[in-house]
Amino acid sequence: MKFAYFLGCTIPARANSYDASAQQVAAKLDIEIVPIEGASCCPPVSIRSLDFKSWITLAARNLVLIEKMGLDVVTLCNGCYETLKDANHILKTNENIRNEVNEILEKLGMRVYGVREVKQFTEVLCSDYAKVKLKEKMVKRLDGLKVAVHYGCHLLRPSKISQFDNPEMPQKMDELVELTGAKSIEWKEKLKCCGAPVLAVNEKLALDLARQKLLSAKEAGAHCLVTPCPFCGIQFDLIQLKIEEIYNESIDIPMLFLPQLLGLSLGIKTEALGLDLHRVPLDDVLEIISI
Amino acid sequence: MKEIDIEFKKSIKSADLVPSFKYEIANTYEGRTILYCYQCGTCSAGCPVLSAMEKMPHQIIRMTLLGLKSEVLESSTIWLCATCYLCNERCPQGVEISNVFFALKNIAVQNHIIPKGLKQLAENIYKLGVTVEMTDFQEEEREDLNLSKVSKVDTSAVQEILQRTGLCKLLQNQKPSPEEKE
Repeated sequence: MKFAYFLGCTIPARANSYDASAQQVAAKLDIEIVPIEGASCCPPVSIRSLDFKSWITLAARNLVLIEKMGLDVVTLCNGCYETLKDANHILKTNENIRNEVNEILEKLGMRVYGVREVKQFTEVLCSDYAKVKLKEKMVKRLDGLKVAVHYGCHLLRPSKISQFDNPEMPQKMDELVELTGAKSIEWKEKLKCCGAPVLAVNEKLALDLARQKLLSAKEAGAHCLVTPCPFCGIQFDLIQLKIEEIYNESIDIPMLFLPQLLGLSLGIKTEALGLDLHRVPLDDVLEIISI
Repeated sequence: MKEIDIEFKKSIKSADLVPSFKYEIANTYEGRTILYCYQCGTCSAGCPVLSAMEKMPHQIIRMTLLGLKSEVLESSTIWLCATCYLCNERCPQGVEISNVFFALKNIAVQNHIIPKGLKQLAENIYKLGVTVEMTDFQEEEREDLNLSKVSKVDTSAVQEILQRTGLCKLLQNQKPSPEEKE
């Protein structure tokens, strides 16, 4: 299994522990990932809000760089996933838009056709191949750990583009988490937005949304949240401190990126998974699973 | 759920309507599904940011269909959409509400309305090719984690694209942003 690896811009600037753990887990499961040279920001839905043509043309340029590698592309970020997958779909199915985009790309000596497949790393981890490998290489069961699984909106929706799982009742990531022995609990706010997309427009609203989710996970008895999106991860970790300060309350529920959780069951060291970089300490989680 | 804004309903005058506005939206890729709306309100019922909106999503759609162009374009509501796409999933008529909102925002931008935060983000992409710049601290963090250096963005290609699409020009000469106005 070999993929072009689209890192995006939020992960290296804000969530390097996600990149580190993903690379560690990919290596353990014999999934080869190749970085893409010269890629720009994906760009995010906020650029789509400003100007559709700018959004799709910037995405198309990234897709051309991936096309040249002759590989399917995998992203870690739900935002990059949504942008690249939707843009790829539009460029492959809408000739008028493709022609308009190519008119601009021509000046850069480029032409977009669309890549074969855009995947989120979670999709790869949920594949039969990865699950078999995971069972084979697992050295540590995470029994007793109660996890609030958070998919993140753009991994699931719009479902006709993503086609990853049932958008109203997803199960794939829960099943993957439970392979490790951890328990995926039911919680009320599971499918709600984390608030990150409105951070640039209305900070209070963004904090409120994140707070509702954190409190709901805690109330349901979760020891931690697990997410495959850097934006959601930042909301649950870094932003949690801000929420605690503003609301003058203690929430204290840590977050793990999905590969970090899998990494623990694969016996990868906590430093290599970047767990010590998180703001909300993971000591209690590690104690429950006796690491 | 908010009360329906009766005062607002009374104030509609036919002379203030731009009936062609709905076609302006329907003729875009993002807005192509708007005409199917039959006002069931399912989009608003599931919207996670409803409490912060001055108008509900289905009201924005209705206002657009009626032709209340300036009210819609100047509304802060369209910028609050979290793009979670729940409404798209649940709409019984197949209206892609989040995408209709993209179309509305695009037209607002053409009318020189951009929230400050998004303008900053677009300017970052123009200047740096990315939304957020890495600091030395993060470079060191990557070294400590044995991660390779992140490859340089070809910013000249990004700038060329944004000049040709016209976004670059739109970022200049902006009216006060919707959140400042309130």
